Amino acid sequence: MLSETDQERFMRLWTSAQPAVANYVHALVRDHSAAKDVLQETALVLFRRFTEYDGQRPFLAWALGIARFQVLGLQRDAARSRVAFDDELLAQFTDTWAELAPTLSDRSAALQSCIERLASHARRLVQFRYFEDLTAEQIAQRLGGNGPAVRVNLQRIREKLRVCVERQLRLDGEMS
Amino acid sequence: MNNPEPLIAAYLDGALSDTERAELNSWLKADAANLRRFTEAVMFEQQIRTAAHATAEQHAAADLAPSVVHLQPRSLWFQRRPLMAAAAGLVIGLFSASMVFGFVVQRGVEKRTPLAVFAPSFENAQIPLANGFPSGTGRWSGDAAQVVAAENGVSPKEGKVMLRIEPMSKGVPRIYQVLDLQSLPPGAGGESREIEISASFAAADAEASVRYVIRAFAVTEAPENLDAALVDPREEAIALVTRGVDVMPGTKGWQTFSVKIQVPRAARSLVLFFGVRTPDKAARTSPHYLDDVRVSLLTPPPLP
Repeated sequence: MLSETDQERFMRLWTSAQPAVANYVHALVRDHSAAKDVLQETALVLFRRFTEYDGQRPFLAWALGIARFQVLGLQRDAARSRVAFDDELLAQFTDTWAELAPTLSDRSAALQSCIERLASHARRLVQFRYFEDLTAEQIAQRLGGNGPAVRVNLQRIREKLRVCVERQLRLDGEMS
Repeated sequence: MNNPEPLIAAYLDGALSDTERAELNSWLKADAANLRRFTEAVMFEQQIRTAAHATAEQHAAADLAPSVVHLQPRSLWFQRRPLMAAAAGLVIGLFSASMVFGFVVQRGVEKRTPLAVFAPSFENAQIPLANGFPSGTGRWSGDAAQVVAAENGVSPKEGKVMLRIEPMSKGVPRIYQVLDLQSLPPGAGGESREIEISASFAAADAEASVRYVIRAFAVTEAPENLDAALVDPREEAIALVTRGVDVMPGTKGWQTFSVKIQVPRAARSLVLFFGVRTPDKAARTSPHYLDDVRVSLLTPPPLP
């Protein structure tokens, strides 16, 4: 059983790491409720094994390592997993995620603002793709057209959003 | 692999074939930089997903706050902002104006040098006309309009023809033009350039009140990259100016006015917008006219 001090320490570390771990899990687990289960199970395992945590290592990297094993449990379920690479590559991907996550500022507010600025057709594609989680083929069936064309449009929208977010963050930085 | 983007896009879409999956794995293992690039793409994809959910849920909550209704946010989200939706559905634009010139103006010891910003003459109705938002410079587009000679007691302000802006029962008839700022001669130094846009409007029915609008906004995108189907260019404006002139019932003849905009150096395109707003719905049956659109680059005199 963790001491009160360790419990507080865990809570502090987990609160800080949780958004990055949640993004990681949702990026790899297609089904939303399955992703929530994986995240919850990850938190439980982290709590139970917190005495094993080496305080010299970044907590996020350790947490993502635990989350990776939880995700691996779903890997064979193609309907729920987005993982498309082998275990070795998944480990490398996880390490890279742990390395990149702290360097990325919180872009959610800027992204929301940029999504609002999209033209109506593009917002509709974003909604189908990211809110309803439809594939390009499914979107094409709804709107007419074909999957590859939808995919190209989504790629252009991502690029637009990336440029928009960078500009927004730059402006925010200049104003602060 | 020269361009991994299609493969990454297919991964993000969950549409990798077995062959593509093997190809992706090989590419990722080949170089740590590849893995980093791929991871960044996946992270950004997830951030978009999170933001899209937050946006949709906010809209749904706002729309449904007064009553308890079964949430169907997917149908509520993009029903918002009907004006922007309407903008994306611009009808085929037909336009030609009798006189459209740009001038370089110098103040002080000014020397006025005409500059053909658009095609020098729009007297020829056979010029190519663009549909929807213009995808480049030198093309007029917008809502229903056509080139006409004198009619309804209105004669062209310049030349032999003018643009008739057809009435619309809903919304504001709009005409667009995009100016390539890179094609302008380098003006005076400084962080911005001042550009003036003037236009003349007239009404077939002088007994209705109307507001004529000129709007100009500058964006950093090049004209060829302005894609109104993806992004409302106005939302990306780094400088924007709008001026409306209210015309009282009984006012006849051409109404000429102008706007000036300070265009930052970073801007690569200037979008010009001419609109007609008729408050009285019953009066939205008669056309308005646009003519003599001029654009001037205002260059301050050199410092002594």
